[in-house]
Amino acid sequence: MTDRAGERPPSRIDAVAEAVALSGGVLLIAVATMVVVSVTLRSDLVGKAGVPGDFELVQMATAVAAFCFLPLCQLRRGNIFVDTFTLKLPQRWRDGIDALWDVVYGLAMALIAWRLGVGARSALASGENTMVLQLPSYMPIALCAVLAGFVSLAAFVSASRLLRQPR
Amino acid sequence: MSGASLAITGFVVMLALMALRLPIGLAMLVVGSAGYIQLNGLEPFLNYIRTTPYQIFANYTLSVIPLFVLMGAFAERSGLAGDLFKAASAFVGHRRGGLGMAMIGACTGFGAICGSSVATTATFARAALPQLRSYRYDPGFACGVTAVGGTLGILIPPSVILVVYAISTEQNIAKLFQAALIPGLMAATFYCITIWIMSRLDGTLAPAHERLPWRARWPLLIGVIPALTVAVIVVGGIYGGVFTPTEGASVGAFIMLLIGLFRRTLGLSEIKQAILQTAETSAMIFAILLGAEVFNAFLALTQVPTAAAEMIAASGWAPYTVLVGLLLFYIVLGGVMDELAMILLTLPVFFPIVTALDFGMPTDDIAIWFGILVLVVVGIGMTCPPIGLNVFVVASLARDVPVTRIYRGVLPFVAADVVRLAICVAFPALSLYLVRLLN
Repeated sequence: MTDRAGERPPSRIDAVAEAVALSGGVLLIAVATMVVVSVTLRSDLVGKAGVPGDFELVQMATAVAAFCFLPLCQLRRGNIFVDTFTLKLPQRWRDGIDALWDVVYGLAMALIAWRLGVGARSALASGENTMVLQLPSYMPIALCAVLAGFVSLAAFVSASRLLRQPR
Repeated sequence: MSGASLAITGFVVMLALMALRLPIGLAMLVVGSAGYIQLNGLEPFLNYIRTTPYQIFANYTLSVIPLFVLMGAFAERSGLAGDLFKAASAFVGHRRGGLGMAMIGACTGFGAICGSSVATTATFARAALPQLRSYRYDPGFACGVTAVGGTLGILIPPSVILVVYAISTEQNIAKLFQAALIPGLMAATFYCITIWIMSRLDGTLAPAHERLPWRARWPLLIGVIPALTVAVIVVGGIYGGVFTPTEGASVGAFIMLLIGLFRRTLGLSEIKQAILQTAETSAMIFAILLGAEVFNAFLALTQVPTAAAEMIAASGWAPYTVLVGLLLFYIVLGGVMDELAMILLTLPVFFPIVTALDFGMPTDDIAIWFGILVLVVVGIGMTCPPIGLNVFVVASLARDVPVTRIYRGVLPFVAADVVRLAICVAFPALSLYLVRLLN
C-alpha cells in the first residue's frame, strides 16, 4: 500500500471528506447514545418502554454513516487490494493501474448514485413512510445518493492525483 | 454459457483482476454486476442496484461493525491497555518469559473490549512492546508476541470477524460470541505455554523482570476494573440476552467514551482521530460487503453454491476430509489475501457445502462450529507469512526490527495455533458447550 497520497498537502476535497466522515461518526455516536437511553428506559431500573422506533433510527443512521465514511477511505487509499503479484512493476505502472481502477470505482459509484437517486424519487412519489416513526423513506436514500456521488468524485480526484504525481 | 461455467469464468476473471491491484470489494462488485447482467439482463440489474446499496447498509445487524470499531478506537486511546499490562506484569513479570505472558494476558482482557485484531496489535505495540524490549527481550520474539497477542482482539469476543461471518451466513451473533469464548481462552493459554517453552529453550529470548513485593502488586489490580466492567457489561449482556449485539456495541462505545473523558485520555483531538479511524476501517469493510453482496447475488443466480454442496455431499468423501481440506485451503489463501475478503468471497460456496455434510449434529450447530474454525484460521492468517496483517502493523511501529525477524518470532505461535485448530476440529464441544449451556 502506498501512503504517498498522504504526503501531499491536503486540499479542499480532503477537508470536505474528513468533515463528512466526522459527521457520519457524530451521527453514529448520537445513535449509540439514543440506544443507550432506550436500553436504560427498558431495563428493570426504569421499567418503561424503550425509545419508539430505535430500530429504524439505527438502520437509517448506519446507511448514511456508511456512505459518509466511503469518500475518506477512498482518498486515504484505505481500500484493501492485493499487491503481492505487482511488487516488481515500476512505480509508474502501478500508479497507472491504480488510477485506472479509481476511474472504474468512480464510474461504479456514479451508477450507484444515479440508481439511488431514482430509488429516492420513486419513494418520494409513492409517499412511502417508515413503519413506526412514519418518517419519509426517501430522505435517507436521497442523502445516500448524494454521498455516493461524492464518493464517485473522490475516486476521480484520486485517479487524477496518481496521474499527475511529480516524479 | 451455462451457470456453472459462467460462475467459474467469473471467479477466474475476478481473481486475475485482484492480482492486478483492483481493490477486492470493487472486483467483486464489477464481476458480480457483469455476471448478473449476463444472466438476467440489464433492466433487472438496474432495478437490483436501485435498492441494494441502501438496503445492505440500512441493516440493523450491520451497525454492530462500526460501533464495535468505534469502541475499539476509543479503547485504543483510553490508556486501559497499559493498566492491564502493568497489572499482569506485576504478577508474572519476574518469571522467565513472564512479560510476554503478561502481554498475552493483557491482550486477552483487551480483546474483551475490542473486536479488532489490528487495533489490539497497534495498541499493545505502543503500550507494552517498548517495555518488553527495555528488558532485553529478543526484538523478533517481542514483536512476534505482540502480533500474536493482537489476534486475541478477534479471538476473544466481541469480534468483528464473527459479526461479518454472522451477517454473511445469517447466523446468530450472540451464539457465535458464546462459542468463541472457550477457544479464545485456549488460544491465550496456548500462547503462554509457547512462551514458556521458548524461554526455557533459549534463555536470552525473554529475560525476567525484577520481582515486585506483594504489597505493590495488589493496588495495580484496580487498573483492571474499568476494562473488566466494560467487558462484563457488553459481552455478558449479549450472552445473557439482556440486549442485542447492536445495543451491546452501542453501550460499549458509549461507556468507553465516558471512561476516556473521565480519565482525560480522550480529548477533542483524540475523539476526532478515533472517529476518522473508525470511518476508514468501517468503510473498508463496507466496500467489501457491498461487493460481496452483488457477487453473491450473481453466484446465487448461477445456482453453483447449491449444486456444489449437493455434489460434495453425494461424493462419498468423509465429512472431516472435506472440512480439513477447506480449512487448509483457507490457510493457503489467507497467505495471499486479506482474511475478511477471503471469508466473504468463499462463504457463499463453502458454507452450504459444510452445513450439508453429516457430522452427526444439527445444521445450526455445524454453522456455529464452522464459524469458530473459520475464526481460528483467520487468526492464523493475521500473523502467518507472507501476508500477516498484524505483523505489518507491528513492523510499522517498531521500525528497527526487520519483518523477517518478526516472522521468525511468530512461527512457534503459528505451530500452537495449528495444534489448537486440530483440537477444535476434533472436539466440536469446545465451541458448542457454552452455546448449549446458555440457551
